[in-house]
Amino acid sequence: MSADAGRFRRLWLWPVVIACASAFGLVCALVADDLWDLAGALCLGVPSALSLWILAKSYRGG
Amino acid sequence: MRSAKSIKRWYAVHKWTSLVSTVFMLIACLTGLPLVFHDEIDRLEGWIGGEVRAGPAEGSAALSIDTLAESARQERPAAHLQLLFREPSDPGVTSFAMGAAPDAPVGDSEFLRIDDVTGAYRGAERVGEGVMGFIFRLHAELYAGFGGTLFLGVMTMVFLVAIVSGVVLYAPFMRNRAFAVVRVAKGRRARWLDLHNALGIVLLVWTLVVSATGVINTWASPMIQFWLLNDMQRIVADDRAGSGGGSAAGLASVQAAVDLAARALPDGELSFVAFPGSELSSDRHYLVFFSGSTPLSSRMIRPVIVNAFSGELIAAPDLPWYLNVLLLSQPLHFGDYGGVGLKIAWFVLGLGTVVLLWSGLALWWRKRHEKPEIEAVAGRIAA
Repeated sequence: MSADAGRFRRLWLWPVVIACASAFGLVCALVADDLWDLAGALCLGVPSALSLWILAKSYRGG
Repeated sequence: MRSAKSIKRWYAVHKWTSLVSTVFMLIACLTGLPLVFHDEIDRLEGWIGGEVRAGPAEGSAALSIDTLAESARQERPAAHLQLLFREPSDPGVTSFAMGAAPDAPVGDSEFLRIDDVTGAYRGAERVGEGVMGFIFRLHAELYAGFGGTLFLGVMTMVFLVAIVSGVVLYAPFMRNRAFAVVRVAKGRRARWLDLHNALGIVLLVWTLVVSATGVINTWASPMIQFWLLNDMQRIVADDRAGSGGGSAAGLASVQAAVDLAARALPDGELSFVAFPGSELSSDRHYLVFFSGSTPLSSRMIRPVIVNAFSGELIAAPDLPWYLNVLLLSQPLHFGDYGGVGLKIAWFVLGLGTVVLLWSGLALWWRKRHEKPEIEAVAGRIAA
């Protein structure tokens, strides 16, 4: 893997994963009920939990 | 890779679009947080007030809609029926919007709740009444009517530009840092900057979707009026029965119109009925709206047009694409389509957006130290 590809992956891998989880979470609860509602909540739980984690890190330090 | 000049330009775009929109987006986010749980809060308010929303007892038969409408008329003899609707969150009750005039804005109307089984009056409320009403009006129109709604739409479009420019700036600012690292030891400004960058990229898709659907929702009223004045008028142009006006007493049965519409759209469920003369109908027709029964189609509605004097079915047209886009955008803005779990996620994401906006303001406030940061980033790129 070239240095550029490595740098790109390090920079964008997590943002892309989170974006995909968010998009899936937004759509799946809309198209079906029950388990899909749960899947939607869990997928949107990814950015939610990360936001809380980042806030906690910033508050505690590190 | 972007040049140092291009990065400075994007930075200016991000700074100014954020500055212009942040205060209004903060208001929208803070007022949107309690609105995520408005169903639960409404139920709690009703419960505190002694109101039971349990629905009818099993086996009890609902009265005809005409009888329910008559109950509403007797309760407010001077007012005019504009809409009737049934909400899943309020079972066993039919709500009637009643205004001072048939075409008075529904936003100013009183909503009377009539018991489906007994026909008894179960209370009334107005849009904008109470704490939740105050919060809703602030969120939707800044207490400035339709002008306020349009203004918020423009501010949200500016915020969308801020989001896109923020993504462009993410790479040069985060180039040599691991994901979501917050440099606490490097001082308050570095901490705010890292918090802002990390939250911004984590919340990206959600803020884009909620903002874009918010913009679409600000255009709801013109879209509906456009449809009524164009497609709807074209459809009913040849139907002259009842033209020349008529009193409420001369109207055909609402129940019969709903039954007729139900036969035209057998897979649908009654969503609401617009009475003739109201701002959501013509002066001679009932517009009976049905929604589908699947999770997605329950968010979409389809109208059946029934002549309010002859009781004749006129048409069951499909809604145009722009109204379907509007209907689809509503759940994606309100977050009320996936149960409590989704609402909790929606609330936390909204909270995160408040911190994102606040951290942006904090960074701007410390602007004396800001210039070296962008210069340093631009310098790194140029080197």
